[in-house]
Amino acid sequence: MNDNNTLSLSVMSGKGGVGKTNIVLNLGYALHQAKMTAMLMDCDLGLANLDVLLGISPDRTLHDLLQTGVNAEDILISIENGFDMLPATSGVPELVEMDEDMQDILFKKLIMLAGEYDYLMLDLGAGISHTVLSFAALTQLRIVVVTPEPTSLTDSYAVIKVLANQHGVKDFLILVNQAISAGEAKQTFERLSAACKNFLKIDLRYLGFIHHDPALVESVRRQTPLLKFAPDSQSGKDIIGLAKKLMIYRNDNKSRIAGRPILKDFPSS
Amino acid sequence: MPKENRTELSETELASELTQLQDELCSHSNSCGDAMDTSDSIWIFRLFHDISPDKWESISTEHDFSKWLTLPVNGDAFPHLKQFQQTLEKLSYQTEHDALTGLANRRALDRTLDIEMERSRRNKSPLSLAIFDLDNFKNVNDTYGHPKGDEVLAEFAKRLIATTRKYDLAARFGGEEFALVMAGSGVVKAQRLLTRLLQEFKSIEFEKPNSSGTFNVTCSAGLTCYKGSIDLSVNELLELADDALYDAKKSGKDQVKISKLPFVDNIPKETLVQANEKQFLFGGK
Repeated sequence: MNDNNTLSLSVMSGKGGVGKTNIVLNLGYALHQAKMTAMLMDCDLGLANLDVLLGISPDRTLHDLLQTGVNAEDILISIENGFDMLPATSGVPELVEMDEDMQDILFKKLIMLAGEYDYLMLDLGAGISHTVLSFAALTQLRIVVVTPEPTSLTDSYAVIKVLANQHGVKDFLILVNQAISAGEAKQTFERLSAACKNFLKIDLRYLGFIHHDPALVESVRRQTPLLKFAPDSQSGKDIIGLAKKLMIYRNDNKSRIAGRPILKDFPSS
Repeated sequence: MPKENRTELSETELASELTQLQDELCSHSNSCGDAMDTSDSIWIFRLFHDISPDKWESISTEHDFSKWLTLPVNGDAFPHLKQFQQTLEKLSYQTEHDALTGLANRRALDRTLDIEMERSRRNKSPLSLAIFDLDNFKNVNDTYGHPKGDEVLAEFAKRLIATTRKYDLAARFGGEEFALVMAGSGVVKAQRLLTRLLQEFKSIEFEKPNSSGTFNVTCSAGLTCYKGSIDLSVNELLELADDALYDAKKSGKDQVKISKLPFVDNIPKETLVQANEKQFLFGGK
Protein backbone atom coordinates (compact mmCIF):
# COMPACT_ATOMS: atom_id res chain seq x y z
CA MET A 1 0.00 0.00 0.00
CA ASN A 2 2.80 2.42 0.95
CA ASP A 3 5.98 0.55 0.15
CA ASN A 4 8.43 3.37 0.87
CA ASN A 5 6.75 4.34 4.13
CA THR A 6 6.11 7.76 2.70
CA LEU A 7 5.02 10.02 5.55
CA SER A 8 2.54 12.68 4.44
CA LEU A 9 2.00 15.81 6.48
CA SER A 10 0.16 19.03 5.94
CA VAL A 11 1.31 22.29 7.43
CA MET A 12 -1.48 24.70 8.28
CA SER A 13 -2.21 27.67 10.52
CA GLY A 14 -5.59 29.33 10.32
CA LYS A 15 -4.00 32.78 10.49
CA GLY A 16 -1.79 33.93 7.64
CA GLY A 17 1.72 35.33 8.04
CA VAL A 18 2.88 32.99 10.78
CA GLY A 19 5.76 31.64 8.72
CA LYS A 20 4.14 28.50 7.37
CA THR A 21 5.72 28.42 3.93
CA ASN A 22 9.17 29.18 5.30
CA ILE A 23 8.85 26.37 7.82
CA VAL A 24 7.77 23.87 5.16
CA LEU A 25 10.70 24.81 2.95
CA ASN A 26 13.30 24.62 5.71
CA LEU A 27 11.91 21.45 7.28
CA GLY A 28 12.19 19.92 3.81
CA TYR A 29 15.70 21.22 3.49
CA ALA A 30 16.70 19.81 6.89
CA LEU A 31 15.30 16.42 5.91
CA HIS A 32 17.24 16.61 2.67
CA GLN A 33 20.44 17.36 4.57
CA ALA A 34 19.74 14.28 6.68
CA LYS A 35 19.75 12.23 3.44
CA MET A 36 15.98 11.93 3.28
CA THR A 37 13.97 12.54 0.12
CA ALA A 38 11.08 14.97 0.26
CA MET A 39 8.46 16.42 -2.06
CA LEU A 40 6.91 19.76 -1.15
CA MET A 41 3.56 20.68 -2.57
CA ASP A 42 2.40 24.28 -2.58
CA CYS A 43 -1.28 23.94 -1.75
CA ASP A 44 -1.90 27.61 -1.12
CA LEU A 45 -3.93 27.56 -4.32
CA GLY A 46 -4.51 31.01 -5.72
CA LEU A 47 -1.94 32.68 -3.43
CA ALA A 48 1.17 30.56 -3.85
CA ASN A 49 4.58 31.60 -2.47
CA LEU A 50 6.81 28.58 -2.18
CA ASP A 51 8.35 29.37 -5.58
CA VAL A 52 9.16 32.93 -4.49
CA LEU A 53 11.00 31.76 -1.37
CA LEU A 54 13.19 29.70 -3.64
CA GLY A 55 13.69 32.47 -6.17
CA ILE A 56 12.29 30.41 -9.02
CA SER A 57 9.61 31.18 -11.60
CA PRO A 58 7.94 27.95 -12.64
CA ASP A 59 6.54 27.61 -16.16
CA ARG A 60 3.91 25.15 -15.13
CA THR A 61 1.97 24.69 -11.91
CA LEU A 62 -0.41 22.28 -10.20
CA HIS A 63 -3.23 23.67 -12.26
CA ASP A 64 -1.61 22.60 -15.49
CA LEU A 65 -1.67 19.15 -13.98
CA LEU A 66 -5.45 19.16 -14.25
CA GLN A 67 -5.13 19.08 -18.04
CA THR A 68 -5.19 15.81 -19.89
CA GLY A 69 -1.74 14.60 -20.91
CA VAL A 70 0.17 16.56 -18.26
CA ASN A 71 1.87 14.37 -15.65
CA ALA A 72 3.24 15.16 -12.20
CA GLU A 73 6.81 14.77 -13.49
CA ASP A 74 6.15 17.56 -16.02
CA ILE A 75 5.61 20.20 -13.36
CA LEU A 76 8.03 18.90 -10.73
CA ILE A 77 10.87 21.29 -9.90
CA SER A 78 14.07 19.98 -8.37
CA ILE A 79 15.43 22.12 -5.52
CA GLU A 80 18.29 19.74 -4.68
CA ASN A 81 18.82 16.13 -5.61
CA GLY A 82 15.95 14.18 -4.00
CA PHE A 83 14.33 17.38 -2.75
CA ASP A 84 11.60 18.52 -5.14
CA MET A 85 8.59 20.79 -5.18
CA LEU A 86 5.30 21.20 -7.00
CA PRO A 87 4.47 24.89 -7.49
CA ALA A 88 0.97 26.43 -7.51
CA THR A 89 -0.59 29.51 -9.12
CA SER A 90 -1.14 33.02 -7.75
CA GLY A 91 -3.88 35.45 -8.70
CA VAL A 92 -6.49 33.10 -10.11
CA PRO A 93 -9.51 33.20 -7.77
CA GLU A 94 -11.28 30.52 -9.81
CA LEU A 95 -8.63 28.04 -8.74
CA VAL A 96 -8.71 28.67 -4.99
CA GLU A 97 -11.58 26.27 -4.44
CA MET A 98 -10.99 22.86 -5.94
CA ASP A 99 -14.07 20.71 -6.12
CA GLU A 100 -14.06 17.00 -5.44
CA ASP A 101 -13.52 16.12 -9.09
CA MET A 102 -10.53 18.43 -9.52
CA GLN A 103 -8.93 17.13 -6.31
CA ASP A 104 -9.46 13.62 -7.56
CA ILE A 105 -7.68 14.29 -10.87
CA LEU A 106 -4.84 16.07 -9.07
CA PHE A 107 -4.10 13.47 -6.41
CA LYS A 108 -4.55 10.47 -8.69
CA LYS A 109 -1.80 11.92 -10.88
CA LEU A 110 0.43 12.76 -7.91
CA ILE A 111 0.13 9.74 -5.74
CA MET A 112 2.49 7.39 -7.64
CA LEU A 113 5.22 10.00 -7.75
CA ALA A 114 4.70 10.90 -4.08
CA GLY A 115 5.27 7.26 -3.17
CA GLU A 116 8.88 7.52 -4.31
CA TYR A 117 9.74 9.98 -1.50
CA ASP A 118 10.27 9.57 2.22
CA TYR A 119 8.19 12.66 2.97
CA LEU A 120 5.32 14.44 1.25
CA MET A 121 4.67 17.89 2.70
CA LEU A 122 1.62 19.99 1.85
CA ASP A 123 1.90 23.71 2.44
CA LEU A 124 -1.75 24.70 2.96
CA GLY A 125 -3.13 28.20 2.71
CA ALA A 126 -4.41 30.20 5.64
CA GLY A 127 -8.11 30.30 6.42
CA ILE A 128 -10.79 27.62 6.61
CA SER A 129 -11.66 27.20 2.94
CA HIS A 130 -13.04 23.93 1.70
CA THR A 131 -9.75 23.18 -0.07
CA VAL A 132 -7.66 23.71 3.08
CA LEU A 133 -9.95 21.50 5.16
CA SER A 134 -10.22 18.66 2.68
CA PHE A 135 -6.46 18.60 1.99
CA ALA A 136 -5.68 18.62 5.71
CA ALA A 137 -7.97 15.64 6.22
CA LEU A 138 -6.06 13.63 3.58
CA THR A 139 -2.60 13.54 5.15
CA GLN A 140 -1.32 11.21 7.87
CA LEU A 141 -0.09 14.07 10.08
CA ARG A 142 -1.04 17.70 10.50
CA ILE A 143 1.26 20.39 11.81
CA VAL A 144 -0.53 23.51 13.01
CA VAL A 145 1.78 26.50 13.13
CA VAL A 146 0.93 29.10 15.78
CA THR A 147 2.67 32.19 17.10
CA PRO A 148 2.29 33.53 20.66
CA GLU A 149 -0.14 36.20 19.38
CA PRO A 150 -3.69 35.68 20.72
CA THR A 151 -5.23 36.06 17.23
CA SER A 152 -3.02 33.28 15.96
CA LEU A 153 -4.33 31.09 18.77
CA THR A 154 -7.99 31.80 18.05
CA ASP A 155 -7.53 31.24 14.31
CA SER A 156 -5.73 27.95 14.73
CA TYR A 157 -8.32 26.88 17.30
CA ALA A 158 -11.04 27.58 14.70
CA VAL A 159 -9.29 25.39 12.11
CA ILE A 160 -8.88 22.59 14.64
CA LYS A 161 -12.53 22.86 15.70
CA VAL A 162 -13.84 22.66 12.13
CA LEU A 163 -11.60 19.72 11.27
CA ALA A 164 -12.55 17.92 14.46
CA ASN A 165 -16.30 18.48 14.31
CA GLN A 166 -16.85 18.42 10.56
CA HIS A 167 -14.16 16.05 9.26
CA GLY A 168 -13.58 13.84 12.30
CA VAL A 169 -9.87 14.73 12.37
CA LYS A 170 -8.61 14.74 15.96
CA ASP A 171 -4.81 14.47 15.86
CA PHE A 172 -2.71 17.63 15.52
CA LEU A 173 0.94 18.48 16.09
CA ILE A 174 1.49 22.02 17.32
CA LEU A 175 4.53 24.01 16.26
CA VAL A 176 5.04 27.41 17.91
CA ASN A 177 6.89 29.87 15.70
CA GLN A 178 8.39 33.28 16.54
CA ALA A 179 8.75 32.50 20.25
CA ILE A 180 11.03 34.64 22.41
CA SER A 181 11.82 31.71 24.68
CA ALA A 182 11.06 28.05 25.29
CA GLY A 183 8.86 29.19 28.16
CA GLU A 184 6.75 31.46 25.99
CA ALA A 185 6.41 28.71 23.37
CA LYS A 186 5.33 26.17 25.96
CA GLN A 187 2.84 28.62 27.45
CA THR A 188 1.36 29.24 23.98
CA PHE A 189 0.97 25.52 23.40
CA GLU A 190 -0.53 24.97 26.86
CA ARG A 191 -3.19 27.58 26.30
CA LEU A 192 -4.29 26.14 22.95
CA SER A 193 -4.06 22.63 24.32
CA ALA A 194 -6.22 23.47 27.35
CA ALA A 195 -8.89 25.04 25.13
CA CYS A 196 -8.98 21.97 22.86
CA LYS A 197 -9.15 19.66 25.87
CA ASN A 198 -11.88 21.65 27.60
CA PHE A 199 -14.14 22.45 24.67
CA LEU A 200 -13.36 19.84 22.01
CA LYS A 201 -12.20 16.93 24.18
CA ILE A 202 -9.12 16.36 22.06
CA ASP A 203 -5.47 16.15 23.07
CA LEU A 204 -2.94 18.11 21.05
CA ARG A 205 0.69 17.03 20.70
CA TYR A 206 3.57 19.47 21.04
CA LEU A 207 6.04 19.19 18.17
CA GLY A 208 8.29 22.02 19.41
CA PHE A 209 9.08 25.64 18.68
CA ILE A 210 11.21 27.96 16.57
CA HIS A 211 12.83 31.04 18.06
CA HIS A 212 11.94 34.46 16.79
CA ASP A 213 14.88 35.12 14.50
CA PRO A 214 15.67 37.98 12.11
CA ALA A 215 17.72 35.52 10.04
CA LEU A 216 14.49 33.79 9.00
CA VAL A 217 13.12 37.06 7.64
CA GLU A 218 16.41 37.72 5.92
CA SER A 219 16.24 34.33 4.18
CA VAL A 220 12.91 35.33 2.64
CA ARG A 221 14.41 38.55 1.34
CA ARG A 222 17.35 36.64 -0.12
CA GLN A 223 15.04 34.01 -1.62
CA THR A 224 17.32 31.36 -0.21
CA PRO A 225 16.39 28.67 2.33
CA LEU A 226 17.61 29.67 5.80
CA LEU A 227 19.40 26.38 6.25
CA LYS A 228 21.41 27.10 3.13
CA PHE A 229 22.74 30.52 4.08
CA ALA A 230 22.59 30.48 7.89
CA PRO A 231 22.50 26.86 9.12
CA ASP A 232 23.98 27.87 12.46
CA SER A 233 21.35 30.49 13.25
CA GLN A 234 19.13 29.87 16.29
CA SER A 235 16.03 29.25 14.19
CA GLY A 236 18.05 27.05 11.81
CA LYS A 237 19.05 24.83 14.73
CA ASP A 238 15.44 24.71 15.94
CA ILE A 239 14.24 23.57 12.52
CA ILE A 240 16.90 20.86 12.32
CA GLY A 241 15.70 19.65 15.72
CA LEU A 242 12.11 19.53 14.53
CA ALA A 243 13.12 17.62 11.40
CA LYS A 244 14.87 15.08 13.63
CA LYS A 245 11.65 14.60 15.61
CA LEU A 246 9.78 13.90 12.39
CA MET A 247 12.42 11.38 11.36
CA ILE A 248 12.20 9.65 14.73
CA TYR A 249 8.41 9.55 14.41
CA ARG A 250 8.67 8.02 10.94
CA ASN A 251 11.25 5.49 12.09
CA ASP A 252 9.24 4.48 15.16
CA ASN A 253 6.01 4.11 13.20
CA LYS A 254 7.28 2.48 10.01
CA SER A 255 4.88 -0.43 9.97
CA ARG A 256 1.91 1.79 10.78
CA ILE A 257 2.82 4.22 8.03
CA ALA A 258 3.39 1.40 5.55
CA GLY A 259 -0.08 0.04 6.30
CA ARG A 260 -1.84 3.32 5.54
CA PRO A 261 -2.23 5.06 2.20
CA ILE A 262 -0.06 8.14 1.71
CA LEU A 263 -3.18 10.20 1.26
CA LYS A 264 -6.54 8.98 2.55
CA ASP A 265 -8.80 7.74 -0.26
CA PHE A 266 -5.95 7.72 -2.79
CA PRO A 267 -4.30 4.30 -2.85
CA SER A 268 -0.94 4.41 -4.64
CA SER A 269 -1.03 0.84 -5.90
CA MET B 1 -76.43 -11.51 -32.17
CA PRO B 2 -79.69 -11.80 -34.13
CA LYS B 3 -80.80 -8.54 -35.70
CA GLU B 4 -84.29 -8.56 -34.21
CA ASN B 5 -82.86 -8.47 -30.67
CA ARG B 6 -80.91 -5.31 -31.26
CA THR B 7 -81.91 -2.15 -29.47
CA GLU B 8 -81.78 0.52 -32.12
CA LEU B 9 -80.68 3.89 -30.74
CA SER B 10 -80.77 7.22 -32.48
CA GLU B 11 -77.88 9.62 -32.02
CA THR B 12 -80.04 11.86 -29.86
CA GLU B 13 -81.07 8.97 -27.68
CA LEU B 14 -77.49 7.88 -27.30
CA ALA B 15 -76.43 11.38 -26.28
CA SER B 16 -79.25 11.66 -23.80
CA GLU B 17 -78.53 8.26 -22.28
CA LEU B 18 -74.84 9.08 -21.82
CA THR B 19 -75.64 12.48 -20.34
CA GLN B 20 -78.04 10.95 -17.87
CA LEU B 21 -75.53 8.30 -16.92
CA GLN B 22 -72.80 10.88 -16.59
CA ASP B 23 -74.93 13.07 -14.32
CA GLU B 24 -75.98 10.09 -12.26
CA LEU B 25 -72.38 8.91 -11.81
CA CYS B 26 -71.12 12.38 -10.98
CA SER B 27 -73.71 12.71 -8.26
CA HIS B 28 -72.08 9.69 -6.59
CA SER B 29 -68.51 10.86 -6.98
CA ASN B 30 -66.60 13.80 -5.55
CA SER B 31 -64.42 14.33 -8.58
CA CYS B 32 -66.83 13.29 -11.35
CA GLY B 33 -64.51 10.37 -11.98
CA ASP B 34 -61.45 12.56 -12.56
CA ALA B 35 -59.59 11.79 -9.35
CA MET B 36 -56.07 10.48 -9.85
CA ASP B 37 -56.55 7.81 -7.21
CA THR B 38 -57.61 4.79 -9.24
CA SER B 39 -57.74 2.32 -6.38
CA ASP B 40 -61.52 2.57 -6.20
CA SER B 41 -62.41 3.11 -9.85
CA ILE B 42 -64.12 1.25 -12.66
CA TRP B 43 -64.44 1.41 -16.41
CA ILE B 44 -67.98 1.27 -17.80
CA PHE B 45 -68.56 -0.59 -21.09
CA ARG B 46 -71.72 -0.57 -23.19
CA LEU B 47 -72.09 -1.91 -26.69
CA PHE B 48 -73.64 0.44 -29.27
CA HIS B 49 -74.59 -0.86 -32.69
CA ASP B 50 -74.63 1.31 -35.78
CA ILE B 51 -72.53 4.04 -34.22
CA SER B 52 -69.51 4.51 -36.47
CA PRO B 53 -66.32 6.25 -35.35
CA ASP B 54 -67.29 9.28 -37.46
CA LYS B 55 -70.75 9.45 -35.92
CA TRP B 56 -69.24 9.16 -32.45
CA GLU B 57 -66.81 11.98 -33.16
CA SER B 58 -69.61 14.40 -34.02
CA ILE B 59 -71.73 13.29 -31.06
CA SER B 60 -68.74 13.56 -28.75
CA THR B 61 -67.89 17.06 -29.92
CA GLU B 62 -71.47 18.31 -29.78
CA HIS B 63 -72.22 17.00 -26.29
CA ASP B 64 -68.72 17.38 -24.81
CA PHE B 65 -68.16 13.66 -24.31
CA SER B 66 -64.41 13.93 -24.69
CA LYS B 67 -63.92 11.96 -21.50
CA TRP B 68 -65.74 8.94 -22.90
CA LEU B 69 -63.44 6.53 -24.67
CA THR B 70 -64.58 4.27 -27.49
CA LEU B 71 -63.26 1.00 -28.87
CA PRO B 72 -64.39 -0.84 -31.99
CA VAL B 73 -65.87 -4.31 -31.52
CA ASN B 74 -64.12 -5.49 -34.65
CA GLY B 75 -62.38 -4.04 -37.64
CA ASP B 76 -59.53 -1.55 -37.65
CA ALA B 77 -58.65 -0.42 -34.14
CA PHE B 78 -56.23 2.26 -35.33
CA PRO B 79 -58.58 5.30 -35.53
CA HIS B 80 -59.90 4.48 -32.10
CA LEU B 81 -56.48 4.03 -30.57
CA LYS B 82 -55.42 7.32 -32.09
CA GLN B 83 -58.38 9.06 -30.56
CA PHE B 84 -57.74 7.22 -27.33
CA GLN B 85 -54.19 8.53 -27.29
CA GLN B 86 -55.22 12.08 -28.15
CA THR B 87 -57.70 12.01 -25.32
CA LEU B 88 -55.07 10.75 -22.91
CA GLU B 89 -52.68 13.48 -23.97
CA LYS B 90 -55.35 16.09 -23.56
CA LEU B 91 -56.28 14.75 -20.15
CA SER B 92 -52.68 14.62 -19.01
CA TYR B 93 -52.20 18.19 -20.20
CA GLN B 94 -55.31 19.22 -18.30
CA THR B 95 -54.12 17.59 -15.10
CA GLU B 96 -51.08 19.85 -14.99
CA HIS B 97 -52.25 23.01 -16.75
CA ASP B 98 -54.57 25.85 -16.06
CA ALA B 99 -57.25 26.10 -18.74
CA LEU B 100 -57.46 29.91 -18.95
CA THR B 101 -53.79 30.83 -19.06
CA GLY B 102 -52.09 27.62 -20.15
CA LEU B 103 -49.72 27.96 -17.19
CA ALA B 104 -48.91 25.04 -14.93
CA ASN B 105 -51.51 24.40 -12.21
CA ARG B 106 -51.13 23.72 -8.50
CA ARG B 107 -50.48 20.03 -9.05
CA ALA B 108 -47.59 20.74 -11.43
CA LEU B 109 -46.29 23.46 -9.12
CA ASP B 110 -46.15 21.07 -6.16
CA ARG B 111 -44.47 18.39 -8.23
CA THR B 112 -41.84 20.81 -9.59
CA LEU B 113 -41.15 22.30 -6.17
CA ASP B 114 -40.70 18.81 -4.77
CA ILE B 115 -38.12 17.93 -7.44
CA GLU B 116 -36.32 21.26 -7.32
CA MET B 117 -36.09 21.27 -3.52
CA GLU B 118 -34.54 17.82 -3.65
CA ARG B 119 -32.06 19.06 -6.26
CA SER B 120 -31.30 22.05 -4.05
CA ARG B 121 -30.73 19.82 -1.03
CA ARG B 122 -28.34 17.65 -2.98
CA ASN B 123 -26.41 20.40 -4.79
CA LYS B 124 -26.78 23.16 -2.20
CA SER B 125 -27.97 25.30 -5.11
CA PRO B 126 -30.36 28.22 -4.63
CA LEU B 127 -34.06 27.91 -5.46
CA SER B 128 -36.28 30.97 -5.37
CA LEU B 129 -40.06 30.90 -5.16
CA ALA B 130 -42.35 33.86 -5.75
CA ILE B 131 -46.10 34.09 -5.22
CA PHE B 132 -48.04 36.85 -6.97
CA ASP B 133 -51.46 38.25 -6.30
CA LEU B 134 -53.07 40.85 -8.57
CA ASP B 135 -54.02 43.89 -6.47
CA ASN B 136 -57.75 44.73 -6.06
CA PHE B 137 -58.64 42.16 -8.66
CA LYS B 138 -62.18 41.78 -7.36
CA ASN B 139 -62.79 45.40 -8.41
CA VAL B 140 -61.73 44.58 -11.98
CA ASN B 141 -64.24 41.77 -12.16
CA ASP B 142 -66.98 43.81 -10.47
CA THR B 143 -66.40 46.96 -12.49
CA TYR B 144 -65.51 45.66 -15.94
CA GLY B 145 -66.94 42.15 -15.87
CA HIS B 146 -65.44 38.67 -15.75
CA PRO B 147 -64.35 38.48 -19.41
CA LYS B 148 -62.21 41.57 -18.80
CA GLY B 149 -60.88 39.98 -15.63
CA ASP B 150 -59.93 36.90 -17.60
CA GLU B 151 -58.15 39.09 -20.13
CA VAL B 152 -56.09 40.66 -17.33
CA LEU B 153 -55.20 37.24 -15.94
CA ALA B 154 -54.18 35.96 -19.38
CA GLU B 155 -52.05 39.05 -19.96
CA PHE B 156 -50.29 38.60 -16.62
CA ALA B 157 -49.61 34.97 -17.52
CA LYS B 158 -48.16 36.09 -20.85
CA ARG B 159 -45.82 38.56 -19.14
CA LEU B 160 -44.83 35.98 -16.57
CA ILE B 161 -43.80 33.53 -19.27
CA ALA B 162 -42.00 36.22 -21.27
CA THR B 163 -39.90 37.28 -18.25
CA THR B 164 -38.83 33.83 -17.22
CA ARG B 165 -36.14 31.48 -18.43
CA LYS B 166 -36.65 28.04 -19.90
CA TYR B 167 -36.01 26.22 -16.67
CA ASP B 168 -38.28 28.42 -14.54
CA LEU B 169 -41.84 27.26 -13.91
CA ALA B 170 -44.75 29.69 -14.02
CA ALA B 171 -47.99 28.52 -12.45
CA ARG B 172 -51.48 29.76 -11.72
CA PHE B 173 -52.80 28.24 -8.57
CA GLY B 174 -55.78 30.26 -7.53
CA GLY B 175 -58.15 32.86 -8.94
CA GLU B 176 -55.67 35.70 -9.24
CA GLU B 177 -52.72 33.94 -7.60
CA PHE B 178 -49.65 32.96 -9.56
CA ALA B 179 -46.33 31.40 -8.65
CA LEU B 180 -42.90 31.35 -10.18
CA VAL B 181 -40.24 28.74 -9.40
CA MET B 182 -36.76 30.00 -10.22
CA ALA B 183 -34.24 27.18 -10.02
CA GLY B 184 -30.64 28.31 -9.65
CA SER B 185 -31.56 31.89 -8.74
CA GLY B 186 -30.79 33.47 -5.39
CA VAL B 187 -32.74 36.25 -3.69
CA VAL B 188 -30.91 39.16 -5.34
CA LYS B 189 -31.33 37.86 -8.87
CA ALA B 190 -34.95 36.83 -8.30
CA GLN B 191 -35.89 40.16 -6.75
CA ARG B 192 -34.46 42.03 -9.72
CA LEU B 193 -36.57 39.91 -12.07
CA LEU B 194 -39.75 40.37 -10.03
CA THR B 195 -39.36 44.12 -9.75
CA ARG B 196 -39.00 44.35 -13.52
CA LEU B 197 -42.03 42.12 -14.08
CA LEU B 198 -44.24 44.15 -11.74
CA GLN B 199 -43.09 47.37 -13.38
CA GLU B 200 -43.86 46.10 -16.87
CA PHE B 201 -47.21 44.67 -15.92
CA LYS B 202 -48.56 47.81 -14.29
CA SER B 203 -47.64 49.87 -17.36
CA ILE B 204 -50.05 47.84 -19.50
CA GLU B 205 -53.15 49.80 -20.53
CA PHE B 206 -56.27 47.63 -20.49
CA GLU B 207 -59.20 48.87 -22.59
CA LYS B 208 -62.33 49.49 -20.56
CA PRO B 209 -65.44 47.86 -22.09
CA ASN B 210 -67.40 50.23 -24.36
CA SER B 211 -64.16 52.13 -25.16
CA SER B 212 -64.39 54.54 -22.25
CA GLY B 213 -60.62 54.74 -21.72
CA THR B 214 -58.06 52.45 -20.12
CA PHE B 215 -57.15 51.12 -16.70
CA ASN B 216 -54.07 49.57 -15.09
CA VAL B 217 -53.61 46.69 -12.67
CA THR B 218 -50.81 46.35 -10.15
CA CYS B 219 -49.49 43.23 -8.57
CA SER B 220 -47.89 42.26 -5.25
CA ALA B 221 -45.28 39.54 -4.85
CA GLY B 222 -43.82 37.53 -1.99
CA LEU B 223 -40.38 36.02 -2.48
CA THR B 224 -38.54 33.32 -0.61
CA CYS B 225 -35.42 31.33 -1.29
CA TYR B 226 -34.20 27.86 -0.36
CA LYS B 227 -30.59 26.74 -0.45
CA GLY B 228 -30.89 23.16 0.63
CA SER B 229 -29.14 23.71 3.94
CA ILE B 230 -32.07 22.69 6.12
CA ASP B 231 -35.02 20.34 5.86
CA LEU B 232 -38.08 22.13 4.62
CA SER B 233 -41.28 20.82 3.02
CA VAL B 234 -42.91 22.16 -0.13
CA ASN B 235 -45.76 23.52 1.96
CA GLU B 236 -43.41 25.25 4.37
CA LEU B 237 -41.64 26.96 1.48
CA LEU B 238 -44.99 28.02 0.00
CA GLU B 239 -45.98 29.38 3.40
CA LEU B 240 -42.81 31.47 3.58
CA ALA B 241 -43.55 32.99 0.17
CA ASP B 242 -47.15 33.51 1.25
CA ASP B 243 -46.04 35.35 4.42
CA ALA B 244 -43.95 37.67 2.27
CA LEU B 245 -46.91 38.24 -0.06
CA TYR B 246 -49.08 39.12 2.93
CA ASP B 247 -46.37 41.53 4.01
CA ALA B 248 -46.35 43.14 0.54
CA LYS B 249 -50.14 43.58 0.64
CA LYS B 250 -50.02 45.03 4.14
CA SER B 251 -47.26 47.46 3.14
CA GLY B 252 -49.43 49.06 0.45
CA LYS B 253 -49.41 46.53 -2.43
CA ASP B 254 -47.65 46.95 -5.81
CA GLN B 255 -44.30 45.71 -4.46
CA VAL B 256 -42.05 42.73 -3.80
CA LYS B 257 -41.37 41.61 -0.23
CA ILE B 258 -38.85 39.02 0.86
CA SER B 259 -39.70 36.42 3.50
CA LYS B 260 -37.65 35.42 6.49
CA LEU B 261 -34.91 33.46 4.72
CA PRO B 262 -34.55 29.89 5.95
CA PHE B 263 -30.84 29.60 5.14
CA VAL B 264 -29.58 32.57 7.17
CA ASP B 265 -30.90 31.04 10.37
CA ASN B 266 -28.94 27.92 9.80
CA ILE B 267 -25.31 28.65 10.56
CA PRO B 268 -23.83 25.35 11.71
CA LYS B 269 -23.27 25.53 15.44
CA GLU B 270 -20.92 22.57 15.76
CA THR B 271 -17.95 24.36 14.22
CA LEU B 272 -18.75 27.90 15.36
CA VAL B 273 -16.09 29.29 17.71
CA GLN B 274 -18.01 30.66 20.71
CA ALA B 275 -17.13 33.84 22.56
CA ASN B 276 -16.14 31.94 25.71
CA GLU B 277 -13.72 29.78 23.74
CA LYS B 278 -12.07 32.90 22.31
CA GLN B 279 -11.91 34.46 25.75
CA PHE B 280 -10.23 31.36 27.09
CA LEU B 281 -7.57 31.50 24.37
CA PHE B 282 -6.98 35.22 24.94
CA GLY B 283 -7.03 35.32 28.71
CA GLY B 284 -6.59 31.74 29.79
CA LYS B 285 -9.91 31.57 31.62
